[in-house]
Amino acid sequence: MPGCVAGGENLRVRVQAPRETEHLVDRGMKVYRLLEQLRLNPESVLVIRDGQLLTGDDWLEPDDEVVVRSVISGG
Amino acid sequence: MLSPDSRPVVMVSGGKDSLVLWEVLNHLGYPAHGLHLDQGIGDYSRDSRRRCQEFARERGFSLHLLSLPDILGCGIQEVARVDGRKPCAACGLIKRHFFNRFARERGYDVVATGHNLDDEAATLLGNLLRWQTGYLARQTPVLPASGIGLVPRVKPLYRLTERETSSFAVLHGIEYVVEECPLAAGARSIIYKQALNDLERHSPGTKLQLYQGFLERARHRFQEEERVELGPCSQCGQPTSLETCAFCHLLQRLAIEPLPVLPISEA
Repeated sequence: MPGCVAGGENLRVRVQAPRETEHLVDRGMKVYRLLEQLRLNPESVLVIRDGQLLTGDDWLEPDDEVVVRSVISGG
Repeated sequence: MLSPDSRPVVMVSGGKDSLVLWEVLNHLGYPAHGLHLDQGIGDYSRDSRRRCQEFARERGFSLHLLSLPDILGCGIQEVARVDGRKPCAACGLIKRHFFNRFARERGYDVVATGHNLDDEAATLLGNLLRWQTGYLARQTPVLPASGIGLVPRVKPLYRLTERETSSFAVLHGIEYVVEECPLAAGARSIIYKQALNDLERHSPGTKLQLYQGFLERARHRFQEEERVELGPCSQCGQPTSLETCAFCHLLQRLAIEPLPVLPISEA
């Protein structure tokens, strides 16, 4: 993923879609840009920060922790 | 779908849709009780059952429990293996039987499930791709009662996308099981949902137009061609289009006697 780094003050992204993975991003960006980088369809996920839902235009700071949660259930 | 004096039972899995539905129906004043089926899928089932119990306890809701391992002596994976069905198909068959029977025996007048727009649109797409005309005739958010013991089934969330029900859950502090059923991995329904979401992204409203258009303009055509007469199963008395229902056939393959009573426990 572009912009991924090993440590330091990074945007920490926990993806639950559906397997749990963690990504570190070394700069702030808008939510829609993050989803583009993760190659995730905004229709298929929620982006949550501190229990609050975010929209595509919300800005993510470099030291944020966000959860990207899949909304698709199957069977 | 529901009248002011309806007494619904909600099928709760521990996932977002059924818990949201349970919360909303109670909020609207319906005395909605929950029924959870433990399917014996290891940690996933244990987490799902616990989540339903905690949710009910936190809100003072009434929850009933059925356990597949207790009833059949095995979990859904083993049932599917013996029966030669895919796990999701076996799961659907068993749930429909237990839920109708439970509602009928306990006097609930409607069974409510948390199916959302994505569920319905994906099912419709699958049925269309294979021209499953019988399924198309019966796909509806309101399945009415029949004189031979079919309790009405309703899907109140059918106009809401999964993203909307998930958002509602987060906004209202409803904790649900985020993990997906491990047996659903690779299921066709998930592939259809992803395809529909790709279309939705480029053309918002596609899913609702597809499903609503089907209900308004096409379903009746399939209904006219696919009239099915239901009668009581020779073994269990539940409604079926066959002499012996699919559930009782399943019991025979598992070498299990018909179930005289449902072993229900209260949470």
